[in-house]
Amino acid sequence: MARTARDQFNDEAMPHVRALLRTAARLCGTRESAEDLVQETFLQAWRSFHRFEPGSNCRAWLYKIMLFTHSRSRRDQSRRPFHVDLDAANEKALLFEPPTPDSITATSVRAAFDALPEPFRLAVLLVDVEGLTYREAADALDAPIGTVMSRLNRGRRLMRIALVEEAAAYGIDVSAHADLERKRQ
Amino acid sequence: MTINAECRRVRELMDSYISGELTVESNHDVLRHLERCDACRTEIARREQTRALLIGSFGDAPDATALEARIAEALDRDQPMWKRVMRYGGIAAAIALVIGTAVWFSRPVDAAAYVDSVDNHIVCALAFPPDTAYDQQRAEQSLAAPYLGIINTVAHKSGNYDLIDAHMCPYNGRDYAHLVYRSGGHTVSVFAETAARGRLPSSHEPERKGFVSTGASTGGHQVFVVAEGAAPPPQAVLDDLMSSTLAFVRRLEQ
Repeated sequence: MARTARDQFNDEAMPHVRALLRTAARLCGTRESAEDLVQETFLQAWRSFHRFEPGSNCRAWLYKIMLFTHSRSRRDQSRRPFHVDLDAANEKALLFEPPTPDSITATSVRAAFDALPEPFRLAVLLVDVEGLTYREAADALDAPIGTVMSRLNRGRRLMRIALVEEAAAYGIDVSAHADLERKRQ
Repeated sequence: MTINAECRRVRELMDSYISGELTVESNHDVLRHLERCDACRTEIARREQTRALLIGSFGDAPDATALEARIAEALDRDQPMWKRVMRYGGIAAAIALVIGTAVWFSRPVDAAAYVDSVDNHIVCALAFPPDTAYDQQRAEQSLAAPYLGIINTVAHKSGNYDLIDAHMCPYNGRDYAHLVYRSGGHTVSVFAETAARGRLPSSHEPERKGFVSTGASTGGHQVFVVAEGAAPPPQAVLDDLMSSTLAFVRRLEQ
């Protein structure tokens, strides 16, 4: 018997519900709104499933729909050319590659991640947490792959800088922090 | 532990190495460097640990069983566009049908439709001399729009009946296209006209002055086949003449 579009959708898209829910929870903050976002994402995906090319990356396609739906509902700045206000000191520090401190905790890593500007945070979330390839993340974010790589690079470095600063505050890896301070001056 | 220029270059690549995004050559460069550099081995281990801690901070992927069921339900409710069109289109079609039927039956009845067809048959078709033969040029000159093409559509011969004439035939305020068929001494008329006076009556005199008229109506036209009541042509001939003429008027209405 011929497979229906719904069968194909069930095979291609539905296995990604769980991964999208996790990301949505991160984007929305609450489980309830995350579930609403994922449901809306899958409805939109179903309605435009005829435009999905079989064999292309369904997960990246779903992320793209979800991020678009999320940004539209929030009317945030993610669809506009964004400008991140890095202070001059951090901008300079980004030229420096601080070593990752020892004795880091999940809490400090998470705090460093949460402090990232949204575009960097989204890139790190998709690649380092969700495991999307750079290409998939670029598709999902509707951005050139070079832009995504740049956001990742800066996001990861900013996290390391935050970790170095936190470690120094506890008297650990003060030499890395001293190097960082020198770069800032 | 000190780091040199090669360490700095490798550290630039380190995160992409962890993500598996390096080219084969760059990957080998990083691996070769790691084999001999303790500082970078330590650094890469810490970065991997950082990433693992970050992933861990989100907890396990939440149980999505209930959400999957909710989505499946929402998809079931969300019918494809063509089904929605069909559903609402079906309602619209039903309403149109009811209105159309009401309008159709509220039309006036063309009470004289059958009578006039028989009477015209008598005064026109029966008046053709016995030796009349079909003349294409005469027919073309005698017909008018929109019936000019009727002679190219209807049968010129059906059973033993031959078409002997086709012309516009004004009668009693009607504007018939009149086809005359003959077989020996028997004459049959086919009339086509616009249904300007209303719908056909639901019943009529079965025979008038020895002739029988059979009528059929399309949306905008009506067609009559008039034959002798005592010696009608075979039913196949009547059907043939009626259906080929109806086919023509239906084409006019498209």
